[in-house]
Amino acid sequence: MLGAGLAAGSMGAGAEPSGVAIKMTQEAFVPAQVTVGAGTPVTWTNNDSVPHSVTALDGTFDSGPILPGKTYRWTPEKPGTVAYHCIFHPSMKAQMVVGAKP
Amino acid sequence: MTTQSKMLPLAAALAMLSSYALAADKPNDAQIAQIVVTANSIDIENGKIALKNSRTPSVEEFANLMVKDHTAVNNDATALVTRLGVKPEPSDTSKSLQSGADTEQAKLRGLKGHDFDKAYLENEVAYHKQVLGAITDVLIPNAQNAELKKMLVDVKPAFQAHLEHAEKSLAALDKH
Repeated sequence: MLGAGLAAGSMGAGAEPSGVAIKMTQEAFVPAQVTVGAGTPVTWTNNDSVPHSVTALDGTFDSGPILPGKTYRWTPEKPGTVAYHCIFHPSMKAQMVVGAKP
Repeated sequence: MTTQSKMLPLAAALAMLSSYALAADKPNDAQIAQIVVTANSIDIENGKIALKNSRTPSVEEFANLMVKDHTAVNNDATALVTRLGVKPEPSDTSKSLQSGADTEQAKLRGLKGHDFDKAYLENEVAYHKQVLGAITDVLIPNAQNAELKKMLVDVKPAFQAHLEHAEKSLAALDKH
């Protein structure tokens, strides 16, 4: 289990995310595969005109609907691999590999 | 007679799904699997027709998304039923769905420009409404296998998002 993350919820599009940034654009996660160290926040930004979600297949995290222009942040706490997707767009799939804390 | 005032052939076929709720025979898991694959395949083909016939960027974007998403659902559904050892079984409903779609798709292929965009999006709105209703009222209640049932439950938000996207695209089209 990767442990609970910190959900920042909806942030304004002008906020400066730190850590790893992932875009949701043209109904895809970009990049679709990332490797991060435990404790490094990951921020997803919805650059599309429709809502998306960031939902772990193993239930580790679930952003709920992320409206266009909004962001979602989650910080993994333990090493492991988690696959996630957008529940509204079945073709949007991605994976995160969490390494040891740097 | 406007497109909106008549029962589209595909929508009529999809409405048959509701009759299952009242009929003595309910779809089994194998029939549900075939209905799911058929319904997804229909919208994939609808999207491919739109990518050929439409010149409107928002319609092309929607169609491309339908092709990608319904392909993904079909891939996941096929992988699941293969793993479960369920062989999709044709039924009167899946055959009627396909027959209705064949008629609708033949009509769409003959249209272009604004006429095409309007007909395509109107069909997508009707189609997604009907499929959502069928998933909720017929397929989920009758699915016996827990994983198949969960897959149907999990796909509902996507179909709802597709419906809302189609309605929004149609509304934007009608403004021009």
